Amino acid sequence: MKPLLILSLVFWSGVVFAVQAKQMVAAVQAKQVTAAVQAKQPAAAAPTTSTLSAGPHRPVPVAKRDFTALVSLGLDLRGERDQRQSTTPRSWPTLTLGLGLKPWLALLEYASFNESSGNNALNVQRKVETLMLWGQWSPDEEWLVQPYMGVGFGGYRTSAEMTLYSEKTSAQGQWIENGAAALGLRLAKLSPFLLAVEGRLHMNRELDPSPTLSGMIKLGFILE
Amino acid sequence: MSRRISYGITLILCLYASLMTACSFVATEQRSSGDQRVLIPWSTDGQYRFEAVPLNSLVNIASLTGRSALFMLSPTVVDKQLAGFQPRVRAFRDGDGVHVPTDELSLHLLTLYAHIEKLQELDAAVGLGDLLPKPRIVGVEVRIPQRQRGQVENNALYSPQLDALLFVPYKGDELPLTVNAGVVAHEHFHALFNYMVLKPAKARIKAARAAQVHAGEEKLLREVFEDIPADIDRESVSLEDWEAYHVNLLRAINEGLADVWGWIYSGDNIFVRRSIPVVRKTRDLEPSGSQRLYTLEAFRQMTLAASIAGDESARAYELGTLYARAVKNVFEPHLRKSGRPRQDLAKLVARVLPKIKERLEGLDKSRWLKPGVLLELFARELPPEQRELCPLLMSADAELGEVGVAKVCAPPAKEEAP
Repeated sequence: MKPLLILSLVFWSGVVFAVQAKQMVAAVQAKQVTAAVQAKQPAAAAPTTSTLSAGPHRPVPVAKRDFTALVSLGLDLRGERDQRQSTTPRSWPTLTLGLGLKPWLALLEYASFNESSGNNALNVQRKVETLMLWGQWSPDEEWLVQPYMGVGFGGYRTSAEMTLYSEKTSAQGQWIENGAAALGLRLAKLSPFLLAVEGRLHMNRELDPSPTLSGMIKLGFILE
Repeated sequence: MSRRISYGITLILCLYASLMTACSFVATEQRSSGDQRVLIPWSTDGQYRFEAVPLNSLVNIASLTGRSALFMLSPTVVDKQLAGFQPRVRAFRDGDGVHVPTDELSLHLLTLYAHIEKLQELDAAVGLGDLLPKPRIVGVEVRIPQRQRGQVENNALYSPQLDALLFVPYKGDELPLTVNAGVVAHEHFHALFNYMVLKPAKARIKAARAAQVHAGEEKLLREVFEDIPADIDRESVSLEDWEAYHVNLLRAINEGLADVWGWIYSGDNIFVRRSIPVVRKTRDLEPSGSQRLYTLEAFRQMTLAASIAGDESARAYELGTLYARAVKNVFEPHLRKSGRPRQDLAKLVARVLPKIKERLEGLDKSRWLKPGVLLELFARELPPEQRELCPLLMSADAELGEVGVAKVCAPPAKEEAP
């Protein structure tokens, strides 16, 4: 039940976030339009002697500011070398929040992976987290499928809880530097819904192998 | 393509290139050498708890490479040697610099490495430091198929043919064998016994057979690993009565002393039961009344019957546990009372082993060693400050009367001046 509750909370937070962001973007754009119109007609209120032969108002060209906001949930399948030297995919649930100005997007991403192994007498629970700041760029074109690429930097932390009979002990590692790069494709026509797939490369000194390849699917909302 | 797209792609590629080249923190190996501490379950006087245990000989944690042990995961045998994957250990360093394993197998492997290193330190402390080759070869998750059902599980063995410790998968719900200090010490002792007693005494007794205390697993192992020499694989019924008896007696001595070594190292009276609960009655070393050893004739009849039935080693375990209980229950109260470490008993065992070898070398087929021989050797090798334990040791010998006790336990005669 707990994961469902968290997913539900994240979903509705995303909806609220998207609505708020859309209102904010609309307000900013409206303000810009008003400002631009006022700048073009500073003396509109003052009477002139000239004739009104200028005719009706022409649309004023506005410098378009394409704000983008997104919230998404994803599943990142990251390869990890197991004890038999073969690479095993691990599922990392991921939450991403993003804000940007086209064609750029800044993303804050949190991902974690949990694993439990052992028996009743002796077992280990492992938790790994990454917290990353991404810079993402996509060509400003009206394509059906929008390609994008990004690089990210951030932290990577491992913690473990071990149980021996009734004794529990836990340990937490320090945040270490983590780097990543991504190439992705987004189905642009679905906007404001987000559906994207990404190929990624992660690097840090604890990863095995490093760099590690991963594939990710993202679902969420995007406002642009 | 517009200029903006070109600029965007160029910028991303530059960032990506910087990431790939400038990130010197990227490394596939966690390099380390000496004086590492690992957080593992550790036994102090039979009580297990998590401890940060220092490892002095470990060179690389990720590949578990070090001077003490070389690990193989699910190994096979190639050219009469164990071969397999070197396992990967997954661990991280906490704020105090202690390496913390993050999965079950890594925890088992690091603990096993730590036990082997500490057992080598014990060997060195009692004068046996240079006896065994290093690093010790250790097979984990060894797959040994059983004829009728699945694979051999929940066991550990020492293979004298491969000179390797082998741990088969543990499927129980108790303390895994690889982290059980007493069990690791028990198997390690079989290697000491092999090098100190069985190999030198090869001419007198079929040494390999006597080392083969886990006869069933060894046979299966040979079927799986075809390269294991088969020259020792003869049915026991083909052995002469005299030889079958002494092979079983040696196995019992080997098993009994291995249990004693397990107790010395771990301080745990019930170390076998911690992993395999069904052996409670047969393997616990807790005091269980005064038990007498078998007489020569009784043990001869038992081994003869057992070898005809094809169950060669069962009697060895029975007598072995009697040996272990007798030795441990005599020494434990004395060591506790005098505040001496259990290592003192290990020193005595190290003095007894060459004497066993000498007795074997002096054997001919007209003479039979009695089951009481082991305790007699302990009694004879007691240091002066422990002579008071001599009658207690000899009391287990079913064939030794009061006169015998007095004879064995008499103070050593001083050499008269010429």
